Amino acid sequence: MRYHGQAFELLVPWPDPHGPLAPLLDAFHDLHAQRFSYANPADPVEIVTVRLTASGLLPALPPALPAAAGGPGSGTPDGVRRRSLGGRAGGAAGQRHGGRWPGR
Amino acid sequence: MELEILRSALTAAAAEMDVTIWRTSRSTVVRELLDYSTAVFDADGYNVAQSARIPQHLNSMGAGLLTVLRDFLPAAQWEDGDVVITNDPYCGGQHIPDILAFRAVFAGGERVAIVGTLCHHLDMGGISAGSYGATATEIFQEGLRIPPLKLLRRGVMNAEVLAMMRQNVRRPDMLWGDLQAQLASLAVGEANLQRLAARTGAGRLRAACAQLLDGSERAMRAMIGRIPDGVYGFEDWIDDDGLTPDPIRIHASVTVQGETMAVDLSGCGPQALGPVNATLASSLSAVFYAVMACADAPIPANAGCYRPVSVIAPEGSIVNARHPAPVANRITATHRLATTILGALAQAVPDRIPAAYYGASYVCTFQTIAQDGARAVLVEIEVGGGGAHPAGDGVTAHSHGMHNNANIPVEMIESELPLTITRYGLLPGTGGAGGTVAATDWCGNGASTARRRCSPPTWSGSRCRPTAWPAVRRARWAGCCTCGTGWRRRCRPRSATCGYGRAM
Repeated sequence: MRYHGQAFELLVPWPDPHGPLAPLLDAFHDLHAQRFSYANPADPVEIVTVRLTASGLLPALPPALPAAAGGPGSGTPDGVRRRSLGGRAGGAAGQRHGGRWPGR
Repeated sequence: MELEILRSALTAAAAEMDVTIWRTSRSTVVRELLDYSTAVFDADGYNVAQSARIPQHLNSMGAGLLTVLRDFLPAAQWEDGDVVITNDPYCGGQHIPDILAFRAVFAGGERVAIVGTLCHHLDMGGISAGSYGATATEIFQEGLRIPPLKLLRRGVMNAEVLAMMRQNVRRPDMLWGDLQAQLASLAVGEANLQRLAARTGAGRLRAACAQLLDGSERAMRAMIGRIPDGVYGFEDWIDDDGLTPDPIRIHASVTVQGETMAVDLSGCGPQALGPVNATLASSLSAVFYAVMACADAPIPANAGCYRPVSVIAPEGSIVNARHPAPVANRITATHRLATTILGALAQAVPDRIPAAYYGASYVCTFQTIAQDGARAVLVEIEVGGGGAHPAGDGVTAHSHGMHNNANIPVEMIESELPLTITRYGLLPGTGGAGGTVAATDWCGNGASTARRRCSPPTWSGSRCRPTAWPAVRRARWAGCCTCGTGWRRRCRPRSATCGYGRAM
């Protein structure tokens, strides 16, 4: 949330989204005063982003990836990928770790 | 070791003040262009720590505060909770849009420090929007002047002064929004310094400030001592003041003798009719920037750095204008002064000084008035290319030297004003020729069209074409504008205020 015209927002907890807005606005003014030493309770306030957490059941995951041929540490590359080091591109052999590419 | 921790704590206080303004300000010139600075001063008003913001401001805030303390409000009259403001170029300021705000920090009933902020406000009234009138011939045309006064007295707002300020500007909401950001920044700085004073004790803090100033002075003297002794002169020219055709001479004679440096600006031209004059505070900023920029070792920037450098600037010259000369585009003179001093120092330490950067601020201001009377104001500063140096080319379209501004994103301009930016990019071939070339300048929002349901926008631009510099290649600038109807023209390389036609 922010005052109209500002370029930055403050994260304000919103425990009761179904209830009235007044407690949320009060919380924003309080937080602004705490963080920046002042508040403008009469100024228009903007809600820029609403973050929500939802829980529910997802469909079952697809089957796990097949196990690596050589296995970690066997010295057998699982594939070749492009990489760039110091501005020079080239191929590099990679090996899966725990059945996955690093970073995936 | 403990001193270094205290120095970092003071710098962190200035940095947190900086972030507070960034996050709470309302106008595009402050929150996007980042045209503001923050600093911490010792109890007597000497700068001990700065945020990493704008050299043009930082080196002058100290001069401004010392002028206020010496001539208007002695430190003994500052009480806990007072906030002192001024924007008057002839009371220690630079130009009217810049409001300086200071607050004394008390701990245990004793003044232990002063915190300060400087914000370039969107509009302070005057002959043209943004208070950047390109045709002003007296400071009275440039906007509302606030002499040094207490906006807050013991924590209580002086509502009459605030009402008078709001009455005189085009966007009172923006003025109040950004002024609140300044006040918030001062409060955050005060809280930080009170915590620090509680930890160290007021006496230790005071002693540490003195040690920091002495330390920077020693480092500065040693740095100057490593520059070969001699007298180094350099000359450059400002094309004109926008109103009269004569070029204006900028000349510096720099004498390096042992561990001291004397900068004689007696060769500079007389003050101009148009608004390209600089007050002494502005010019000192340029001198100290140039001297500190050529240092071969990192030196903590504070008022101690200024001690070994003396400056001669005759009153009534372009670099020390006499009241009531107009000063809105004072940075035209100070950019050129900075690059002139660097040009002189390049003869002493050639390996440390790049070719001159663009050396002018291409400031454009726009105002639109909607049918319901609502005004929108835009202040935009375009920059240019950096000078080449022995090891490489200059950087293209980048803020250099006295500047440390960002550009306002096109999307932000278009969302706030009924303006459409039709072209925004680099101007090819403006960087000059040679093995190592100065960088290409950029063509900013010279290209704008007004949408429907909008009065003709007014435009005020203060532009100066950098002249050829024989010794070191300078980025060349060529202005171009596309007016609302789509035809292109070259802007005359000078200040101008003109009305654009309606675009349908």
